[in-house]
Order: sequence, then structure tokens, then C-alpha cells
Amino acid sequence: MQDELETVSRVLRGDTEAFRLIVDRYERPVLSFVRHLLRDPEDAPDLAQEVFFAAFAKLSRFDPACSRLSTWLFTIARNKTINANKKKRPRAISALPEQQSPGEVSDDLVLREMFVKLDVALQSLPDRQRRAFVLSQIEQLPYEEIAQIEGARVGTIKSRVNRARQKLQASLATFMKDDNE
Amino acid sequence: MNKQKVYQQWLKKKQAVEIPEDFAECVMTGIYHDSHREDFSKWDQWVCTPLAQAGLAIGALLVFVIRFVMLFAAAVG
Repeated sequence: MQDELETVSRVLRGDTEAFRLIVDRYERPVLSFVRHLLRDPEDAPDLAQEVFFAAFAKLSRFDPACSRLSTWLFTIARNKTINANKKKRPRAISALPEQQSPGEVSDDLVLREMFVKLDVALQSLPDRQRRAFVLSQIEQLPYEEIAQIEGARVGTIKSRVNRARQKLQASLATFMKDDNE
Repeated sequence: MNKQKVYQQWLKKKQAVEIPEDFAECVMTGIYHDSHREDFSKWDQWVCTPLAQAGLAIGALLVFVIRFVMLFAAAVG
């Protein structure tokens, strides 16, 4: 944390190369977040770059007293993905391969089909639920940080994540029965 | 296969995002060539120096004193 603040002040003093440390540290989480939220994931690297360009341009506005650097970067990424999704038409969710009975095919193929089903379910979630789910379950951010990024209460975020998890797990219901059933 | 296990495997797959090898390089190239910090940030930095803040304070005090003297002179005269 202290190192990050030192890096930020180095960049603000004109050491542009120090910004590379921020990019190296946050490229994976930012790219992952953007990829999971964009309607067209192929645009993710370009948009993630834009996030870092914007962060560099507005670095003097970052206030360590208000948020962590990661929170600030995710907030920029969140806003950029919302804007990018507004510009893009909703993408038709690709049709699933015809479902076969699990007994007829290998476990590997069934597993792949289930992953596709989960991917489709994730894409179908309302935007707010999807963002909360991605930040919490994939990026593993604490609820407090997600609440700050989303400008919502912690309880609201928890409820969005829970609803998203329920929907995702329900998407597997057609494939199998739970162990405890 | 149980539902929870599949879900956890899927999450792990989602967490393993591949980064294009030259991603950081592209960002830095873009920053060096296309993007510059907003000019006001330099202004912010300048305004935040102790010398600039002292100058601003002295300037404000001078303006206040001059206006006070002018008002006093107008009242007396």
C-alpha cells in the first residue's frame, strides 16, 4: 500500500516509467474484470488499455484518503465498461450445443457443456449483479471495496452476489441432481 | 460430478485470465506517445507547493488591507 502511494507520487513528480509498476500490478485484475463485463470480450485488451490511459491522465485526482488505488482503478474500469456496453448492441448469446444425456457422452464433454451453460448464465445476469459477482467471486475483492466501487451499501452488494450465485447454480439444475438429493 | 464442484472448477477457470504478453508495453507506449497527464495536474502540483501557498496567502492579505484602507479613506474623506 505504502509502496503504491510512493509509486503514485513518483509518477506525479514526472517519473512516467514508474507507472509501469502500476500496470504490472493491476493488468491481470483490470483485464479480467473488463473481459467478464464487456458484451464483446474481444474488446477487453483495448478497453483495459484505455483504463490505464485514463488512470495516468487523472492520477492527480486519486485521493488515497478516499480509496485504495485498486478501488479507484476498478471504478474507472467499471465506468468504461458501462459506457462501452451502451455503445454496443446486445450480443446474441450463442446457442448451446444440443444437449445429450450424460450417460451417452464422456464426463469431459458434459463438464464443458456445463461451463458453457454457466458462461451463458453469467452473461444473462443483470449488469449490477454481474459486476458484483465478478468483483466478489472472480476478482475476490472484499464486499466493502465492491460497495465503494459500485456506490452501494455492503448489504446490497451481498444480496446481488447471492442472487447471482443462485441463478448460476440453478443453470446447472438441468444437468444433474445435487449430491444431497 | 456434483454441482458445487463444477461451479468451483468453472470459477477457477474464470480466474485464470491470460494477459497478452505485450500488454504493459503497449500501455506504456501509448502513454509515452498519445497520452499526457491533464495540464491542471501540474497546476495542482504548483499550487500545492509551500512557496505558492505562502504567496497566495500574502496576496489575499494585501488585497484585504488595500480594500480596508480604501474604505477607511472614503469614510474619513
